[in-house]
Amino acid sequence: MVEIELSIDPETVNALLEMVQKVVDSIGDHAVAPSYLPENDPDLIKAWEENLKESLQTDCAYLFQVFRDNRFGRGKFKMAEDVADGLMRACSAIRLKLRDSTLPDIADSQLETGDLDIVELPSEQQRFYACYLFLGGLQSMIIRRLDPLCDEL
Amino acid sequence: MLVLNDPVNLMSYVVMVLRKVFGFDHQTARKHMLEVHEQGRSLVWTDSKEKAEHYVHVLQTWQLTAILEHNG
Repeated sequence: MVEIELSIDPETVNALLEMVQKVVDSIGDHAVAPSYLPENDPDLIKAWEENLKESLQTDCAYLFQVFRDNRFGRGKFKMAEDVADGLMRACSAIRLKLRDSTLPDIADSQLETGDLDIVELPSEQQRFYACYLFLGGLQSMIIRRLDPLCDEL
Repeated sequence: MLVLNDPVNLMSYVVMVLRKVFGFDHQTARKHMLEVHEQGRSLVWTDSKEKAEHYVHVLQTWQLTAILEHNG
């Protein structure tokens, strides 16, 4: 089991959930575009893409399961390791989609370093960037529990 | 097999994924992550095409950007 500790009011969880749902809906049937596909084998390419799509759907289901749990955000929260893995993968997929669809004007270097003043962004972008940061923070919290050495980075 | 840089995934996440997928020790995973971060790419696996494709697919499920390059 992986235990994290997080205190966040239910209204904020609901607002995040709503935003995440929109992003997941926008991903739809399409897995995040793969950087590599096998060559010259239509059956393998189809199976490859189907598997990525199914994997993403499963991961997003884990994320919604966690976010909709009444105990989430109210202090200590335990989850199975496979749920934590799926949640982290879903967070990455959603952050990638948020970056492409709602934060395209932000420089890569600013995203990487976090050297960005959120209040300077238009209000709609502020909400998406806050969601982006929250999902990254959630990943960090889980990584700290799963692999404390990684947290030193 | 190469892992490419992206501005979204956390450095700690990349290290953790490389450790989980390839069983690297922390130092090796960190070395690859830093290569990805600083040089834009890191060669993390060399083997048959089939095995390398398997790992590319696994890394894609973790939302990392991975590609294959043929040797020679």
